[in-house]
Amino acid sequence: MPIEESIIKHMQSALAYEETACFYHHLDPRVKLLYLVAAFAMISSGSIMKLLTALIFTYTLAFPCPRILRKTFHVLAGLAPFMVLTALFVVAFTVIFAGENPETAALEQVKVFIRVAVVAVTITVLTSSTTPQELICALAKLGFRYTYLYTLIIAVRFIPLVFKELSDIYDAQRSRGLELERGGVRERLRKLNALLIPVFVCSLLRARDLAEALELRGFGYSSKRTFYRNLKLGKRDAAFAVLVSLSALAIHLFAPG
Amino acid sequence: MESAVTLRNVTYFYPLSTSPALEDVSLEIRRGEFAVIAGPSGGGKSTLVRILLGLIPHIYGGELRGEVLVGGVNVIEKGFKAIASSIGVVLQNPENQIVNAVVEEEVAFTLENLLYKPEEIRERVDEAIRTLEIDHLRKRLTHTLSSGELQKVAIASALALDSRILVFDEPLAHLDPCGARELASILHKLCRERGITVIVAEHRLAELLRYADRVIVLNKKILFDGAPASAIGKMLEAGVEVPPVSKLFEELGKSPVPLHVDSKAISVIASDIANCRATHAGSLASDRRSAATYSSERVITAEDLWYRYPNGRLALKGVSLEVFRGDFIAIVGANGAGKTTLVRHFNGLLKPWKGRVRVFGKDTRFSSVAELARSVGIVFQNPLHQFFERTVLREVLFTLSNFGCTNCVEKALEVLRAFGLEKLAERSPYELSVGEQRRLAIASILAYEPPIIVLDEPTAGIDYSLKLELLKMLARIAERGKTVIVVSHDTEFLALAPITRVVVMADGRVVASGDPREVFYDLEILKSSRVTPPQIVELVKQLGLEGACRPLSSREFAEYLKRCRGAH
Repeated sequence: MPIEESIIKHMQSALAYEETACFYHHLDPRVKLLYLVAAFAMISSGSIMKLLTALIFTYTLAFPCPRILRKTFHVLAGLAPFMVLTALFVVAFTVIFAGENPETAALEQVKVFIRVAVVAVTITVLTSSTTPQELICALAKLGFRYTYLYTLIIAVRFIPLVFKELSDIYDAQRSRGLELERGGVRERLRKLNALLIPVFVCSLLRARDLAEALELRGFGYSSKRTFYRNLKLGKRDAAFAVLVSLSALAIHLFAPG
Repeated sequence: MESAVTLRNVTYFYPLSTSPALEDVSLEIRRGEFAVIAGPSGGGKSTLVRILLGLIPHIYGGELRGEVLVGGVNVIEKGFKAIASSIGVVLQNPENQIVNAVVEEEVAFTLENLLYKPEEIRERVDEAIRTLEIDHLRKRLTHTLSSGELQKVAIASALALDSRILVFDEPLAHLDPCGARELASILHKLCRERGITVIVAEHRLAELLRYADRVIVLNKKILFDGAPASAIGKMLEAGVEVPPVSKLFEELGKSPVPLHVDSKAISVIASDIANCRATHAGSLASDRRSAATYSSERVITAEDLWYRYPNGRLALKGVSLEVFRGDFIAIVGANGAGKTTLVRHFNGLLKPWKGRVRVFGKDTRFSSVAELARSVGIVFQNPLHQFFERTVLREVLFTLSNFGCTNCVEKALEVLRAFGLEKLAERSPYELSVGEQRRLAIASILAYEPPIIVLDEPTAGIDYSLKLELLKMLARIAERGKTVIVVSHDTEFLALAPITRVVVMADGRVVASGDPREVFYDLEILKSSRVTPPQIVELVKQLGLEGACRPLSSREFAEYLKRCRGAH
């Protein structure tokens, strides 16, 4: 499987909401957003010890949901070839052209890996346990306009459909004898038209249907919107918010530099 | 009764068009009525739906004359926002109108947009979900639902808003027969029990007509507007599909014309054949179509074939199948039975997870798609998935050049001529009608003359006259000695096709395979596989005649009955 395809497939599955309920499904989305912010704060440090502490902390927090943990490893497995290639290139480049010590250059790449691993687990926690609408509800309560947020959500929802369509189109064209992997670069690029034009046409038709449906369903008629879910911060939310905030602070202040 | 929808002298021209899409259309649909809008493709059904919804002229532009009232509101003047809460719509492909990730959120979406209070939204969502009996789907992700389930979600969404008018644009196009039957009965229930006005624009009428109060046959103008039983003749004239049992009565000149196989229809035919059975049983046996018209050369062999999709779903579970040269095979089964997965193995698009497939002796695991495609041409369901060239001619040339044929303009033109597309050779494929696009899709595969042709759901979303055209095309292909495999759940279409063998699939397995007159008459197998038999088969079964004759279509049965009458 080509690297791009592998990354797309793994990222797609990571961003998808999971129907099965776990601890994080019961948390207020605003608290999960806070967790994401705290995780970014933790990995902003340049210290390897602080980063390792953040790594252990975030993966320990994912333990109540083994499925999320498995998905995270799945994402990291998808990213691995790309990250390894990038790391090798950066190390080689800095050692050869910038005269950097190989050990220091390698250590910097290890830090990058740790940061990516922390971001992967926190984002997977958020997206696997929060429906896009819950996220919109939380962000709308924080003052964001829902029409802009829905644009993003619709784009995310349609990504798998467009990929499915692309896959069907690819199959239809291969059945007509198209071989993308043969020929020179120019010829291959020209052959790509056989995929891109039908995808573009089908996406336009899909977008037309969706736009009509949104118009007919009252979307954007008012600048305000109600949400049938009531977001209320409970004790569990408060406890989790305190835990992640204090932990981020503790890592920043007390973890060895 | 109060009017739900009124159109007065409506004429509409799309932007830049000089001929009207609808011409002087006047109609009134009353509250609580179940109205079906039938007519050929391009006859203006979807245009009429868009006008009712207010999308025309407010989104589409163009020139609209006349008056349109929905629930007493003048839509042309006030726009679609004024009727948003009184009319609900379900599009042909409900996947395109679903916005949210979770079913419950989707049902609540419109109410939230229209600023209903959270408590009221929850109550309405609960009520709508209960009415549609989709509580089990409540927390499900919308992208994991089937077409039928998505349609129920879209209906629930309209019901939650308490829309008193529901409009459907070709809702049955992507449903298998059981799904279509279920949806038709849901619509009937909503109409009768809740007094909702149901308006359905549709080609597939076999399941709908029995519930309809009224049929409007539309081909730019209204050709007929009245009770379904008296519409059959007009529908046949307009090239619109009618239930085969209705067609049988028309052909026999009997009335009243039934809309489905009911006790009256059975008693009328039963009295017709009362004296016939004993004397003609012998001659009826010869009605059976010969199944032995193909050679004994195996062209495709699937041996204990298993396939597992990357998400872990087992789509094929030990399928074994042999296809012989000259075979005309129909693979039938409900949506998700594994039909398409199976045929995608024939040209190597999918490789077996276990077992193997051989095409002309070649193991598909070790052959490329390009190599196998020389032997097996697959025509996919959606022609738009393959068009990208500037002209029709270039589309055909593209396929030919992929298979090594350069300077093949003459050959391409010859193929276009055979499919009646020669005059359109320099037009863009996107400018063609639905029927012409379907023909071009088949032509561009047949151009390189693969010995095996596979058509995946060729009748989805096409009208009756196009189906008949497709039948002729398939018959010509079969006459040329090609092996034809049709994947379809449209058993009424297959009943008209010259098929030599039917393969029934269910849950990833082949559950029956044999002569169409054997398989289609095995109602147990069909029922357990969620395949509906052709209507004529149901009628003959209920008459207890299958021991004497086994017609599949109304024409065959009418011929038999006429012979029978002639003999007496």
